[in-house]
This record gives sequence, structure tokens and C-alpha cells, in this order.
Amino acid sequence: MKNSDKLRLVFREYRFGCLENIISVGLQALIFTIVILLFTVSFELDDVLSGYMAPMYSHGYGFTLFGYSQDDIPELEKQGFRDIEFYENGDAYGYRDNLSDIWFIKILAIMDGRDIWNSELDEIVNYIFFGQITFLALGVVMFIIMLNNISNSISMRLMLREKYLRMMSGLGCRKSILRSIFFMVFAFRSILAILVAVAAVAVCVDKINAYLHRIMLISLGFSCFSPAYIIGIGLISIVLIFFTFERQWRARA
Amino acid sequence: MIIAENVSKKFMDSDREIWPVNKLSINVESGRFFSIVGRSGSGKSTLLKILGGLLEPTDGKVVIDGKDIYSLSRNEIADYRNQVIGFVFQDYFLEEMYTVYQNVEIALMIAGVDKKDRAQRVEAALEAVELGDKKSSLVKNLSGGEKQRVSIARAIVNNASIIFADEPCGNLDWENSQNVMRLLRKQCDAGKTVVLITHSLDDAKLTDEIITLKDGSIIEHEKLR
Repeated sequence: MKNSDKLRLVFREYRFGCLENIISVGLQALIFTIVILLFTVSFELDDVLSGYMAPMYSHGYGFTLFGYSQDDIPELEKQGFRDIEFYENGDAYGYRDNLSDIWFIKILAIMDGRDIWNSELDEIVNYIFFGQITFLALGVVMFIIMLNNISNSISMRLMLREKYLRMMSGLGCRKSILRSIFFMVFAFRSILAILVAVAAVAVCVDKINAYLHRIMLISLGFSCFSPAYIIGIGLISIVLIFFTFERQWRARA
Repeated sequence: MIIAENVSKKFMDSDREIWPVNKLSINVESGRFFSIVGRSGSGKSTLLKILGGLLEPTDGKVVIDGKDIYSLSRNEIADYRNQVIGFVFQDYFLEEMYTVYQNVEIALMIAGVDKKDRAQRVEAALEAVELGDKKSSLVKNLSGGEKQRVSIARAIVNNASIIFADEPCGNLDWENSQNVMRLLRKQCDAGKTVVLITHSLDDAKLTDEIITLKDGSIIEHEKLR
């Protein structure tokens, strides 16, 4: 079968279950919006909190650096520390302008048998950690719900189109061609949902930023308009949809 | 020529073995109108699926024009079905939301025929089944008889040399049944081999040969012409 004819059959497929298509795209877009928002908030929580506390720490956030030597200064500077001073007992003290990725840096230090610590900031750093973990976990749960939703939607559509699949097979259509047609049907539908979700997240982040800027003079970073970000989300989603589709297709074949 | 040699098919129902087709052998000469009759459950439809490359037999082989079809790969069998075999089913197996034209065209799309050539061939097939004026109608708006004629047009549009018809008149009234039988006879007269599954002896008597099945085996073979 020619590729143009495959595409023709893909678009004809959207004539069936119009309402189901709309509901599926809407539901996927809604859940995907929540997933991206939760991940965004999770990744940006450290910046939001440090932005909120910035007026109280106008000289920066000071940390005691255990287990570091003078040789580690370039590495520490790369991690955002400045004005690093070493004391006679071997410990050091350094400042950061924000708390961005503080847990990542702390975990890296612990893995090397070192530590980065500040008694005054310890509680806040813990809040950041648990906040990030909580939002990330919620995002993962919603992501699993989204995959389940896509999987159910594929299963239902394949069940409804069983007669069509049998007809095509009887007419001599190769199974691999039928599979590629139906994969495209679901992939296009999900790509549309992702695009709607990215646009919805952009609007939401814009509103959140306007609010944060008004009360705290800070904003969330969100690169939803970066081509690399959109291509990345698209590729990951297509791979996930492919595996979800394959599972359902094999179950029905 | 279609040759089935010692063909058997086994299904499992829980722990019980069922043999809807059991060590059955038949020869269908090219250009003949051949009917297979029998009661429900006698194995007619299973046999048709086996002969048409839709269901691999448990034992035996099916040779069509010198080619053992089940020795081919899955893709080769699919291609063979598309090029050599046309199916007509009792339930039509048409897309209700497609037009008549689109339903017939789909067999040519599968074969990879260019869009330009498709138009000519679809129109010729629709003319052959006297539906030339209905090509833009949605199938859901057609009568049962017309749907079955669309199904026949789709079976012949690829110039298939064999047509397998599984109870094509099962859902039709007498007049439409006669029409369908006349169209199938016309295909046979044009040199195609037609294998008809039916439980109507009246329809079977319009064919050249009748075999009667019971419990998956042939109990009678009658040559009428």
C-alpha cells in the first residue's frame, strides 16, 4: 500500500466515533497539562522558595562546606558557590545566590563523603526536598493515569473496529500495514492532545507568574516554547504510545 | 484449480477436541461454479476460510494453481489473497460510513494501484454489478441487496480469478438472492472460479457442482453441469 493511501485511511478512521475522539483528546490534554504543571512546579520549587526568601538573605545563602579542599574551588564555583573561605580546621564556608538544585548538589557531596550544611536553612532545604518529591510523585501518578487512559482508549477503539480489521485482513492487507495505520491514528490523536496541553500549560504558567511577580517579584521558569522541549516531550510520548499500542495490538491479534 | 488434500482443522473447546473439517479432499476446476452445502456446524465456513487462506489447517494442504498457499509466509498469503482471491460475506463486511466507491476502492489501495487507475477500475466493477449510479452513496443508505452487490464489486475489482462467497444470500429476500446468484454466474461465465457456501438447495442448484458436508466430511458430490 502506498504511504499516501495509508494516510488517507488514517484520516478516514477519524470519521468513526467523533465524540470518542474529542473526549479522548480532551481527557489526554487535561491529564497531560496536570502532569507538566506538576513536574514544572516540582523542578522550580527551589527557585520559588529562594526567590521568596531573597529579601531576608540579601548577601546570599551561606553554607558550611565539609570535606572540601582548595582544589575543589573550581568545582564549587561551577555549582554556584562564591566567596569561598577555608578555615584552619579544614572546613570551608561559601555563599550561593539562590537555592537552585541545592538537593542535587547536597546529594553529590554526600556521595563523595562530604556535606553542605547550614543550621538556619536546614529546615527550609528539607521543605524544598519534600515539596519537590511530593509534586514529582503526584506527577508520576498522573502520568501513569494518563498512560492507562491512552491504553483503555486504544483497547476500546480496536474492539470497535474488529470487523474492519477482519475485513481488511480478508482483502489481503498485511497485518504490519494495518498496525502502522492504527498506530498513526492513535499517535496523531495523542500529539494533538500534547500540543493542546503545552499551550494550556503556557497559559497557566503565565497566570501563575503574573501572580508570583505581583506578590514576590519572582517567576517560574518554563521552557514550553523551546523546540527542544516540545520535540523531547513529543518523542517520549510517541515511544510510550507505541509500547502501549503494541501491548493492546498483540493482545487482540 | 483449487486442490484441498486431506485437510483437517482442530479447535479446542476446554479439554474437548472439535474437528469442524476432518480429512477432507476436494478439487475445484478453474472456471467452475462450485457450491458447498450442509447444515449449520457442518464445517462449511471453516472449509471456506481454509481454502481462502484465512485459516491455516491443522493437517493437509491447499494448492491453488499449483501453489501450496500455507507454505507461503503470512505476508505472501495476504498478498496472494489480495491478487487472486475475492471474498463475499453474508454480513457484507463493508464500511457503512464510506461511500460505495471508497468501499470498492479499498481493495485496490491495498494492492498499491495508482489513484488514476483506481477510478477506472472501480467504475467498471460497479457497472458490472449494476451500481454505477450509486458510487457516491454512503453504504449505510443502501438496501441489503445493494450492499451485497457492492461486496461483489469489491471482490472482482482486483481481477481476482477466484471468488469465495460465504452465504451471500443469507440476509436477502428471494429477488435479491436471484440477482446475487445471477451476478456470481456472470463472473463464472467470464472465466472466474466461484465457490459458494450456502444452506439453500435452491441456490446450490444454480451452480455447476454441489458437495454436501456433514460433520466436517463430504457425504455427497453431485455434478449438475
